[in-house]
Amino acid sequence: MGLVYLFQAFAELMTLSNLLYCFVAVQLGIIFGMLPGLTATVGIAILTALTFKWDPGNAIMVLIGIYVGAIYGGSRTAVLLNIPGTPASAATCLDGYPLSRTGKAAEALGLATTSSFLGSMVGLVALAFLTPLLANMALEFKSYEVFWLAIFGVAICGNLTAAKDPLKGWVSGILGIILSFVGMEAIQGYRRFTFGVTDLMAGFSIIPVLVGTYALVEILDNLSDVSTPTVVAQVGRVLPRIKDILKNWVNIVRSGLIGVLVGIIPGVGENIGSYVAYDFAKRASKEPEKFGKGSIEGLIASETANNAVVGGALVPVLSLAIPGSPPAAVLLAALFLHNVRPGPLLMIEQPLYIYSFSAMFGLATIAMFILGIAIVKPMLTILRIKKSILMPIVFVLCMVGTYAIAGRLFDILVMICFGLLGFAMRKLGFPEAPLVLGIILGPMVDENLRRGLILSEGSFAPFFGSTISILLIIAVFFTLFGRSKPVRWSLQLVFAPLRALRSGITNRLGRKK
Amino acid sequence: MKENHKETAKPDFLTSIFLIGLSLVILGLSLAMPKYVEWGMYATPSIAPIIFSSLLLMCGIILFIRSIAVRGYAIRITREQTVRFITSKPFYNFSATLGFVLLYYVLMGRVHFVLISALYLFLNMFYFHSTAWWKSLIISVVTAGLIWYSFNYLFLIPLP
Repeated sequence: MGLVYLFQAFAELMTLSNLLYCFVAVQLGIIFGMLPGLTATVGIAILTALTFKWDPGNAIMVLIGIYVGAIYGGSRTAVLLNIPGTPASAATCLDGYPLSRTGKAAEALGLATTSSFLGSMVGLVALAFLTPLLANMALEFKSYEVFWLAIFGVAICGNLTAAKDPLKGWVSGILGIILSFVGMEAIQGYRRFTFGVTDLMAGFSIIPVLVGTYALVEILDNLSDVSTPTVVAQVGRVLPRIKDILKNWVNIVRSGLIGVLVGIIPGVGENIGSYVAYDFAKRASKEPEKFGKGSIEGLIASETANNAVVGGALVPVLSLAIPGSPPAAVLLAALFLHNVRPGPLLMIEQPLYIYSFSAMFGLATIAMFILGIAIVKPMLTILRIKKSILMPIVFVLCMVGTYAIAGRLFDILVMICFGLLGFAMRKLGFPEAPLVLGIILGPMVDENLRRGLILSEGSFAPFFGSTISILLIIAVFFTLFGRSKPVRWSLQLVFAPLRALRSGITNRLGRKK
Repeated sequence: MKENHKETAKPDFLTSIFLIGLSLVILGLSLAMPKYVEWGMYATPSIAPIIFSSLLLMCGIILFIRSIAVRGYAIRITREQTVRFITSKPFYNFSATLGFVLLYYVLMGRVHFVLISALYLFLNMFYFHSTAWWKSLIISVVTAGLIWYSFNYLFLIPLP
C-alpha cells in the first residue's frame, strides 16, 4: 500500500512549477556542495530563511533539493581538487582524486554521480518504508523511553563524531543539553539562566545556533587561512558508468545499507557513513591494495553511502523528530517553521505526508542524476571564485537569513556567539554536531525526565521498567563504556563459549571437506 | 590513544579548568532555583540542570586528570611565542574577519542595509586583496543591492 501512496504522491508532484523548483534547488545544492566551506547545513540554513514565507510544499521541496544536491556536489571538488566540498565527500578524495590524476576525471565523476544516485535510491526506500514502521513503534514510547532515546542520541553522536576522543564528544553533547535549558521551561514556566535578559526567555532559536555553529565557523576558518586559488582540471563528457556499477552491485547494496543505518543514528551524518562504508568495502575487496590509489570500489562505496545517509537521516526526523545528521537538524527546524509536526504523531495527524516527503526526495534524486551528468563544465568555473569574495557574501546571507526568521537583531548576536563557540571548539578538538544535537534534544530530555517523575510520583523505577528502556539503557552503556578494558574483557568472557562453538563447527566442516 | 591526548594535553588542561568552573557555576545557579514543593520535589526545574552540570563536572575532572597524567600543566608561555602568535597571518586574518563581523552587527539596524552590507563586503575584499579596489567596490554594492532587493520585493521579508 505504501508503494501506491508513494507513486500517487510522485504523480502529484509532476507539475512544471514543482519540477522547476526542484531542479533549481538541486543545482543550487550542487553549487553549495562544490564550494569548499559551504556545506549542506549552511545551504539549508540559508534557504530556510529565504523560503520561510513560501508555500510549505515548495519550501520543503527546495530544502530537500538543496540537501540532496549538496551532498552529491561535494564529490566534484573531492575528485577534481582533492578538497572535499562538504565533509561528506572526505572519503571520496581518497580514490576519486588519484583516478582524476591518472586522466580519468570524467570516469570518476560519472561513477560518483551514478553511485550517488543509487545511494539516494536506497535512502528513498528506507525513508518511504522504514519511517512509518519506526513512527508506529515510537507511538508506544512513554516519557521514560523518550528520555533514554534522547540520551542515547547524544551519547552515540558524541562517540562517533569524536572517534579519537569520545570524552570530547560527550562534553560537547552535555554542553548542548545545558544550553537548551536557557529560557522559560515548559512545565512550571520558570525562567532558567536568563539573567533578566528578555530575549533569552524563549531560549536559543535553532536556526541562529545552526548558522553560527556551522556557517560562521566555516567562514572564520576559511578566511583565517586564505589559500591561493586552485587550478581545476579539464573534464571530458561525464557519462553514467553502468558496467562498473553492475560489477559492484554487492558493494553498492552494502554501502547503501550502511549509509541508511548510519543516517538513522542521531546527529552522526554523511562523513561517518562514507568512511564506514569505505572501510567495509576495503575489507571485502579482492584488491584492498588499490584503495587510496584510485580504487573504483572505494569511490563507489563512499559516494553510495554518503547519499544513502541523507535518506536514512530523514527517517528519525519524520518518525521521532530527532535529526539523523546536522543538515537534517536544519530541515527539522524548517519543518516546524512550516507547521509540519514531525514525530510519532505525524502518522496519525498527516499519515500521507511521509509519502509526499519521500516523493520530493525521489524527485530531487532524479534531478541530481540528470544535472550531475548534464551540467558539469559550466559549474566548474564557479570553483575559480576566490574564497575572500565568496565567504563574506555568504556571511551577509547568513546574517540576513538569521534575521529574517523572527526579525530580531538578537538572533544575529546568538549566531555570532555560537560561531565563536564553535570555532573555539573546533580548534580544541570538540565536535560541533553533539552540541547542536544536545540543544535540539535537551528540551526532550528535561520535559520527559520531569514528566516521568511526576507520573511515577518521584520514583525512578519506571525509567528502568520497560523492555525498550532496558534496551536503550544497554545501548547507552555500551556507547559510553564499550571501549573500556573491563567491559571488553567481560564481553570476551561472555562470548567465549559462543566463539568456542563457532571454531568447533568451523573445524568440523573443514575436516569434512 | 595516549599519544592523541599528549598532543592536546595543554589546551585540554586549560579547557578542563574552564569546564570545571562552568559546571560549578551552573550547579550553584541550579541549586538556587525554586523548588515548587506542591508539584513534588522531583518536578523542580533544577533537576535536569543539576544532573547535567554534574555530568559536565565529571567530564571536566576526567579531562583534568588525563591532561595532568601527560604533563598538560607544564605550560610555558614565552614572550617570543606570544609575539609570534600575535603577528602570525592566520591571527591577523581571524581578528580582521571577526572585527568586520562585529562592526557589521553593531551597525546593523542603525545604517541602511545596503550601505552597511556593501561596506562589510568591501572591507573584506579590500583587506584580503581579492581584486582591484574598484572591482571590489562594484561587487560589494551590486551584491548588497541585489540581496536587499530580493528580500524586500521577491521574498517579502523586510530587512533592517
